Formats: sequence, structure tokens, C-alpha cells
Amino acid sequence: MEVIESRIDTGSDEYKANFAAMEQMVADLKAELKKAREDRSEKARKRNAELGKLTVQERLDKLLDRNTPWLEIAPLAAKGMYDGKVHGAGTRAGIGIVQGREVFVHANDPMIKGGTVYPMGVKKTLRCQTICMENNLPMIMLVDSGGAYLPLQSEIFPDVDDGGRIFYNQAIISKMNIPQLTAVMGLCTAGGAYIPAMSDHVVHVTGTGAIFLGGPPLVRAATGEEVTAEDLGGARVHCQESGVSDYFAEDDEHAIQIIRDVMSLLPRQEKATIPTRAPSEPLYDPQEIWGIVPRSISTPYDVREVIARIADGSEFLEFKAMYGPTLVCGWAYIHGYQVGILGNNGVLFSDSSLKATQFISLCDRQGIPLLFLQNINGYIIGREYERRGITKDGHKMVHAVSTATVPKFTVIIGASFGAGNYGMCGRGYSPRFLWMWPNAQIGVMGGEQAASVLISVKNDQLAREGQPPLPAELVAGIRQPIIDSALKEGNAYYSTANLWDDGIVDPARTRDVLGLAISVSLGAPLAGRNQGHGTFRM
Amino acid sequence: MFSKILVANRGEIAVRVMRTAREMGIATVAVYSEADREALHVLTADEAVLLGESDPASSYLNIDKIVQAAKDTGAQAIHPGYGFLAENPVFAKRITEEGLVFIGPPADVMANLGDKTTARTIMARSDVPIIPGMTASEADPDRLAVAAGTLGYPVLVKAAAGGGGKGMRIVWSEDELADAIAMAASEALAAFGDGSIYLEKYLDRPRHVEFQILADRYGNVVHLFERECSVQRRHQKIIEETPSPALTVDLRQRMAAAAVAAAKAAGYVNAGTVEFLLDRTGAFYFLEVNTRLQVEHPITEMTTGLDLVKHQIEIAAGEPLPFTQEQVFRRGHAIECRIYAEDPEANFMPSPGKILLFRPAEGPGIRYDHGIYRGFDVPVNYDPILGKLIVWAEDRTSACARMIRALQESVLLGVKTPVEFLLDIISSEPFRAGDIHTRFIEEHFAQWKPDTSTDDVAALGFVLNDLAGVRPALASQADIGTAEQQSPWQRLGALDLLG
Amino acid sequence: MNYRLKIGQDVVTLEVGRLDETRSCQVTTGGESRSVTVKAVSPDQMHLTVDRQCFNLFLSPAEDGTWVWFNGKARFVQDADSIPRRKGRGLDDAPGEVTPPTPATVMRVLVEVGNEVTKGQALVVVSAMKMELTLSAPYSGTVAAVNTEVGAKVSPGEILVEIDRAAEGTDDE
Repeated sequence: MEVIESRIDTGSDEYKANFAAMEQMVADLKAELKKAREDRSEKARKRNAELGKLTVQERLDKLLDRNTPWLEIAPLAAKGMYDGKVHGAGTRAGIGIVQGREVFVHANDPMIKGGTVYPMGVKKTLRCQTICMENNLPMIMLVDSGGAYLPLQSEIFPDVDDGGRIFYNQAIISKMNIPQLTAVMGLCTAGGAYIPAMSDHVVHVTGTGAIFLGGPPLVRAATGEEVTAEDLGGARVHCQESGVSDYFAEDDEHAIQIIRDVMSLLPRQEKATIPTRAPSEPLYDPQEIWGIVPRSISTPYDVREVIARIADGSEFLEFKAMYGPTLVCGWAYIHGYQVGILGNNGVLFSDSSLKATQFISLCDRQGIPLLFLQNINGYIIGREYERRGITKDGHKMVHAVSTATVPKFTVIIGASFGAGNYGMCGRGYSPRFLWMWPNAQIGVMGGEQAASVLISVKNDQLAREGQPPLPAELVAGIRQPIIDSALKEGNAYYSTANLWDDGIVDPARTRDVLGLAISVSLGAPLAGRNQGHGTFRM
Repeated sequence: MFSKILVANRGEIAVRVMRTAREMGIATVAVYSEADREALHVLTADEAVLLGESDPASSYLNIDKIVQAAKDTGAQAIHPGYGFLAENPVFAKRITEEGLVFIGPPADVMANLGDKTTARTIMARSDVPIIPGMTASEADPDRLAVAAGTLGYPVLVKAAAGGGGKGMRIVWSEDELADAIAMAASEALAAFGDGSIYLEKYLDRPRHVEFQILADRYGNVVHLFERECSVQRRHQKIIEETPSPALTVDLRQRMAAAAVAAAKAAGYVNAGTVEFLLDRTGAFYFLEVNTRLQVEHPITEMTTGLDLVKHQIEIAAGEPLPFTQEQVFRRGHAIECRIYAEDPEANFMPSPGKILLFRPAEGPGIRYDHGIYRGFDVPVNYDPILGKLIVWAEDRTSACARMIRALQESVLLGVKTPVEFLLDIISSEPFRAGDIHTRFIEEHFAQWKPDTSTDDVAALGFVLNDLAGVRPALASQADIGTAEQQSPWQRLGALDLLG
Repeated sequence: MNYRLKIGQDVVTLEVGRLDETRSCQVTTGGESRSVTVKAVSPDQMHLTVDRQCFNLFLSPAEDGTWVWFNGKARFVQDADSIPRRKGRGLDDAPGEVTPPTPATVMRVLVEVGNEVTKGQALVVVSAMKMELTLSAPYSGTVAAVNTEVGAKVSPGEILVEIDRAAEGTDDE
């Protein structure tokens, strides 16, 4: 296959400045991640230790096979929300290896607000379940939660994507024959009681684990009965009398050992087959991406330079290289898996949209996963383009992205604005996973554009009322807050806090993250290959 | 000279004999049992004959089968190694009767020396000093008690047949005697099929010093100096060295003369060893003659430069000794450590199993005679000796240092071995001072435990191996990745992505 | 990452950092942190640099652990976290009372008030559905009361023998 020849001068001032800027962004990211993992009150730590419980990190360490990767999902969810202390929305979640098998692990962190569930926590759990369902991943839940955070109960409880959906999903996951294993390592109160109840295997830690529909305070309030948590829903009660739990565990470590034992007994699953070859490293160091990504979101850069640092051997067979050049399409291997890559080199025109449509369709027919590298300001606008039917051609691309059945992966490597987000497989288009780089921006449009549009709309309105346009000093006063707000709400941290993505990833690590994710995605069969039409030449 | 010989043994000694035979241009025949189908001696020989089941009686002790194997393969002579049939006069006699050559002494000499009381009688006649004791075996407890009184306690109860410590008891006072006699007799009966016992004076903490003898059919007898084999556990030698740190020039001369006299008195032919006990006053007593190649013979080879097996074969072929006593020289110091599959922490219990890794030390002055290789399953049926590590250096101090290096560098994993125990002995003050005797281990190392102070290095090794390598448990899982390749989940190791 | 390793009778805990591009990582044990660099000389041989000291180790994986050779010392190192626990932990002391599992008839009473009993000792034999079943002591202690006799019809929940529990820690091995 053809090798991409990089045109980057790693000795240039521009490269060095870019590199330093990204280095700082990655350092900031790591600091945020570290804080999310470690920022816990002394009181909470002490309480956890007194109860003889392991910390959530220790639980994960003991559960996962040692010396294997851990792909965390949404570690910065809820960042900056509530009181700023509900790190990761109160849970640790991700994909790892247990007894040699890829599994999803979802663990409450009892050292954050006693493991109580915040609205973003519900959203994160639902996202985790979606990942399980889309990829046929077994789910291990380490439950240790005080139940819903009552002051925010209205945001958690009733709607279609609220708390109840978790248990609905559990039933559906069970129906899909995806194993669900739960270790009760703390409280499972009220709705939380259904998490173990709806699982296939329930391990219950004596002394600390308790399952009940109503906890001791509620029982006291409702009936006046005085009862301890252990007596109401402890391991002995549920392993010996009620049958709610299946395995009696002495302590956290024992429970994890039982979970690992059960994992080893689950039947093996066939993986979907896609074209593969022996993996190899890119010719160019992935870390060079740090010096390639411009410091400003509005400076364009050649997405091939990124592909050269993601693809095995930096090899890339470009599809329709000379046609619709603002969208780069082609085939490559990542960690040995064949993928079809679409990357932006400018705004989308009719020709690039048609090229995308044809390419997506080809990959879908051939059973090749799709990778979208998003750096897009949108589809081209203007009189001429509207007349040529850019909306019609954009529709074809959006349609193809929506209906493609192969696994899709999206990385936002720069801008993600407007309908470009849709055509390039934004969150609404169900990519199996979506990650952002720390420099990424997301929104209906860029801040500058939005400000200009709003001012122009305002001026139009004034003109209709026969008034003069806004004076310059007023314009500045309106403009800046809009730009500021777009920057704030459009940056990667805001996105990840809101679970618009699965996390922010160091650009140099993107290749590895993708390799793992592709492997995970093959857990589900490639269902749609032989359905529908063949590929239309656009 | 023979063109083909059969080696009626197994393990390291069979391999060692075959090496010399090959150097002499003599083809070799190995015999083996079911358990030894893949043993190193079978892989080393030019031909190999399966004797039968793994139990020694069906294989290495089965005279009929071994003789038949020799006839079938056209071997002209049989080398018995040590152990098994090496000191069995019936075997030697049978071989001669079948028109083959036994590489060892004549059967009658072997029979005389094999019976300890007969041997003592022969030695006493030739003025070789013997340990005060009874000259005939005795069954009557009363007479034994009288004899014990005459000798003076402590006394040693010994089996008339056999050796290796079986049927041996130390008796410190009269009231222990009756029990000791009964137990020794029953042990001897079980081990050798002969419950006869006799008494001799027990020497306190003596040294075990033996002399290597070579004798041809023409009455030429030379000695190849001594070996000191005092470091023993459960009456079995584990460290041997030469020269003995205890011998003066004069004492060495007197003991050598006694050894040569003993060999002549017995009409000895071929390689043999005259064993003495040397007490703390410098008095020495005849112990027994080993009518075979000794386990520890390599230290004599290392210091004299002579190949004992070569001379055994030449003598058996009827050749005269090619040198006189005056032409035998010795240089430097040699030490041997026996490497058994055994657990020094559990009273030297045998520890059979699979050899997972074996990498003998290299470098100047090192010889490793062994019968194992990586992947070999050490059978439970036989003596658990794996090999012998032998070093040579200019002097004793350098030889000790070299042995320490050789032990440290000779990697052997999979079964328990006494390597660490041997290292501690050789590094110890009393051993370095040469202050050794047959109760050395009981006195200094009875409660030996391995030093665990550097175990953290082993822990680091485990951890780094885990980190740097692919986990075998993971590699065997079928559902990660496709059939053709490993998934990045296996290859990437402990990455914490997005974390 | 934490490792708990069993070497002989000892258990060592190590906190291990990530292996970086130079094949180095930080290892903390006994409060002491050291930088360790690894070089695989062959599949069996490993060269370790610990701070500035060099070690040559030889390794051989076995079924439930790894043999490590270092300077004549062979050590069998096991991952303490993957050594299976003693079977039946927690279940041993799960039942707390001497009561039949189904309605039954008492066949034999094996203890009297004041008897010392040890955990697991047979107390009463009952018969139900043509099967004999032995009820045994849930914990060690002294028989405080025997509430039944031979021939009695008994039901689940009826405490047939009451035991004063011995002081904590004496009923386990």
C-alpha cells in the first residue's frame, strides 16, 4: 500500500510552538484526570477504610487482569457541575480485561457523596449500557451507592432517559444474552436494589453490602420498625433466605475473586471477522501530532499528517484523491484492523459529500469499520452552492452515515461545527465511540460566526423598524460575551462533562485507543452487510 | 581394545562413561527403562535398548536383560557405573561366564570386599589399621552386649552387607543397644535381604578420607591421592574435595601406602577406592573398599589430569598401567558438589519433577557432569542425583570462590535442589577453615533455612516479567482478537488510556 | 498497580508504576521507592537495573507461579491475589441455629446440658421423608439447653439445642 509522506518540518518554529501548546493541553488533561481520580475528602477515605472496604481504584486493580489496558469511559463526566466534586459523575467506568475477556466495568465510588446518583451519573450509566448493548460486552457492576441524590430527584427519576431506563436496559441486555455480574459492596437502595436483582450473577459482601427497597430510615419513617442495614438486606439475609444474592463473600477481595471465577466460566463469544493483517507501528511517531495541530482552531491542517501517525506503517490507500479534495477518504490498517477513514481538509462541498456517500456505502458493503476524523466548519453555503443542491448532497452523506451498519468511530480533532458534525458522524449518529482531542471545539457554529450572525440579525431587525444599526461600542459589548460563551460551551471539557463524548484523549494515544475500540466493536456481529442496495456511484 | 561397550547404568554417570568411550573410538550401548525413554544417557548413546518397566528389578537391576542386551548389540564389555549392579559379584561373574568383559574388579575380589567382615579380616592380615570391632557378624544380643562393653561406648551397629548408611545405628550407652540392634537388623534385612550385623568402635567426628587406586592385571597398583568426603548428610557425601586439608605430607604417605597395601592384599584389579576414617588425633582406620568408580571421581581427574574411565576400560581390556606411581602428579585443588533433586529444608526429601530451566555455569575450571536437560522429567523411581558440579583452581581458597560462582551461575529451575544450602556451607567459616568432619552438617547446619533477605529481587523479577511480557493466561484466550492475530488488548500491556 | 506476591511463607507487597518507553518503572516496596529498568536477554533471562545495581535473573513460569533464579537462589513466586481462597469461606458459619430444615422426628439426641461442643460436632439426628439428617453445632461452646427428646415431632424454627457461644476466636481453627 502507499505510504503517506509527511511534509511536516519538525524543526520549524511553528511545529515547536504547536508542540508546546499541545504538551500543555495534555498536561492539563492529565492533571484533571488525576484530580478526578484522587480528589476525595479525608473523611470519606477514613470512613471507607473503617468499613473495611477497598477503594474503587483498588477494586478495579484487583478485578482487572494485571498488565492489561484499561480504557476508561467518560472519566470527566459532570466536571464543573454540582459543587465540582462529583468527579466522573460519581462512578468509574470503562473497558478492561477480566480473565482474558473484554468486559465493561461500572463501579460506584462511595467516596464521592456516598456513591449517590446524580443526574449525570444516570446519563453515564445509560451510556455504559449502550456500549454493552452495541458491542455485546459483558457488564460487571460494583455497586456501592446510597441511591438517588434526593435534592435533584426530579432530574433523575421519571423521563425516558432517566433512572428507570437503567433497569429497563438491564432486562434488554439480559434478553440479548449479554452477561451481567454484580458485586454488592455497599448499599443498593430502592431502585438500586434492582441493579443486583436484574443481574445474572450477584455476589454479596457480608457486613457492608446491603440490598433493600427501603433503607432503615425509610422503614422507621413508614412503619416504626427499627432494623439495621445488615439485618434488613445483608448478605446472610439475601444469600440464605431471600435468594436475591447468589454468592456469599467475606469481603471486597473475596467478592472480586468470585466475580473473576464466574467470568472464567462464561461461554466464549465469537468475534465478528473483518479484514486484518499483522499490526505494525506507523512510520512517524504519533507524538508528532502534538506539533502538527495548529494552536488556532481556524488554522487549517492536512488530515493526512494525522492519518500518517495513526495508520499501521503510515500506509493509506486514498479513495478518489483528486475528487472532492476537502474530504480525504481511504483505507488503512490500525493495530492490524482494516478501517475506512474519512478526514476533513476543509468544508464539505457537493463533490466531497458525494464522495463520502459512496465511500461509506463501500465500507458498509465490505464490512469495514469507519473512522471519522472530524475537523469541520460545516457544509459550504452561498447562492451558488444552494442552487447546485448542497443540501441534497449533504442529505445523501447524512443518510449514508446514519444507515451504515459497520462499527463507526469518531474522533474530533479540531472543529466540529454545524451540520458538519452530523455528516461526520457526531454523537447523534451513534458511532460506537466518540472521543475529543483537548483542542477540539464543538457547537452549531464558531463563536465569531455566531456573534456576527446575531449582530446581523439584530441590525436587520433594527432596519425593519427604521432605526440605525448598532453603534460600534455596543457591537463590541454584544460580540465578546457570545464569543466567550461559545468558547466555554464549545470546548472539549464542557463536552465531556455533558457526556457528549466518551472522553478527551491525548492525540498521541489516539491510535491505541482506536485499536482497542475496534477490537471491542467486533464483539457484535456485522449484521447489515448483505442487506439493502449495492453501492451507487455518486 | 573393545569396539563397543554397554553401559549398564543411567543418568549422569552413564553419560560420563559414554563420553570417554566416544573419545576412545568405542561405540556405546545404553540400556533404559520405561521411565527413562527420554533420558539424556539414551540420547547420548550410539544404540539404546529398552530393558523393561521402570522399577529397578525389571530394568537396571535385571542381570538377564542386561546381558541379553549386550549380546544382541554385540557389545564386548559392560561398564556398570556406580550403584545398581556395580558392586554385585553375581553380575560380574555372569558377565565373565557369558564371555563378556566386566569393567571392574574380578567377581571374587568384589565378593570378598563386599562383605565387610571378610574385608576387615583381609585388611587386618596385611597390617592395614582397622577400626576396633567385631570380625564376624553376630545375632545374639547378649554376645553383642559383651562385645560392645569390650569396645567401649559409643559403638556403631552396622549391617554386614550394603552401605549408604542403611542399617547403621550409633549407640551411646548399653540401654540403647537392644533397640538399635533390632532396628538395624530389620533395616538391613529390608535393604539388602540380609539382616546380619556387627559392631565397631564409634569415632567421634572423624573425617572421611579415601584413596583412589588403579590396579592392572599384572600386579601394578598405584594410588591417585586422596579425596576428602567428610561433608555428608544422612551418611551421604554431598561435598568432596582434594587434597584433604587435614593431611600432612607424612600422613598422606602412610595412608597411601596402607591403601596400596589394602588393594594388593585383596588382589584388586581396576579402579577402586579405599576408604578410611581419620580421627582427630591423626589415627586412621580402614573403612571399606569401594569396588567401582566413585561418584566423586572427577575431582581426582581434575587434579591428576587422568581420565579414570579411560584407564578402567584399558585395564579391563588387559592393558598394563601406562605409568608408575612416580609418574602420577597432582596440581591445584578440586571440589565437587552433588546436585540432587531434593529439598534441603525438608530433611532432603527427594523432589522429582520437570526441569524447567537448566543452564550450567561456564568459564575457567568448571565441569558439570549431569544427566538432565530442560524439559526432562526427573523420574521418581531412582536415586535423585541430577549431576555434579566440579571446579578446579590453584588452591583451596580459589576453588571455594570458584565453586560459589559456579553454583550461582548454574541455573536449575523446576525441582528443589540443595544449591543454596551448598552455597551457605561453602561460604561458611568452618568450611573455609577446612574444619570439617562427618558430623559437620548436623553440627553447623541442622536448622538451616534459606536466607530471604534478597527475596525482593525475585519479587522484582516476577513483576517486571509480568509487565514486560505478554501474560500467558491472556495469550491463550481464544476470544480476544481474530484467529490470525493478537488484539491490541493483549499487546499493549498496562496502558491506562484516558486515565 | 499493586502486586501481592507470595515467596515461601512470606507475602511481599509492591506498588508498581507504568513501564515507560525506556522499559523503566518505579517500584515501591516497604516504603522504599526504586527505579527499575528491565532488559529481556532471552525468554528465560532478564537483566534488571535497580537504581544503579545490576542483576541477572532467570525465570521459568510454572502452573501456579514462576520460578526465579538469582545468584543460586531459586524462589517460587506466586501472585497472592490469584491463589484461590480456602473453599467454603463464609458459608461455614452461615447457619446460626440448631433447627431442622423440614418437619421431622427426633431419632437421637447426642448431647446433654453442660457438654462442651466444638463447631461441626453432631448434636441431634432427625428423620424426615425417610432420610436421616444430622444437625451439628454451628459454633463451639457449651450446651445451655436441650429442648427436645427422642420421638418428638419438630419443625423448622424450633431451636432443638441452645449453645452458649465460646469466646470469640476460639471456634475457628
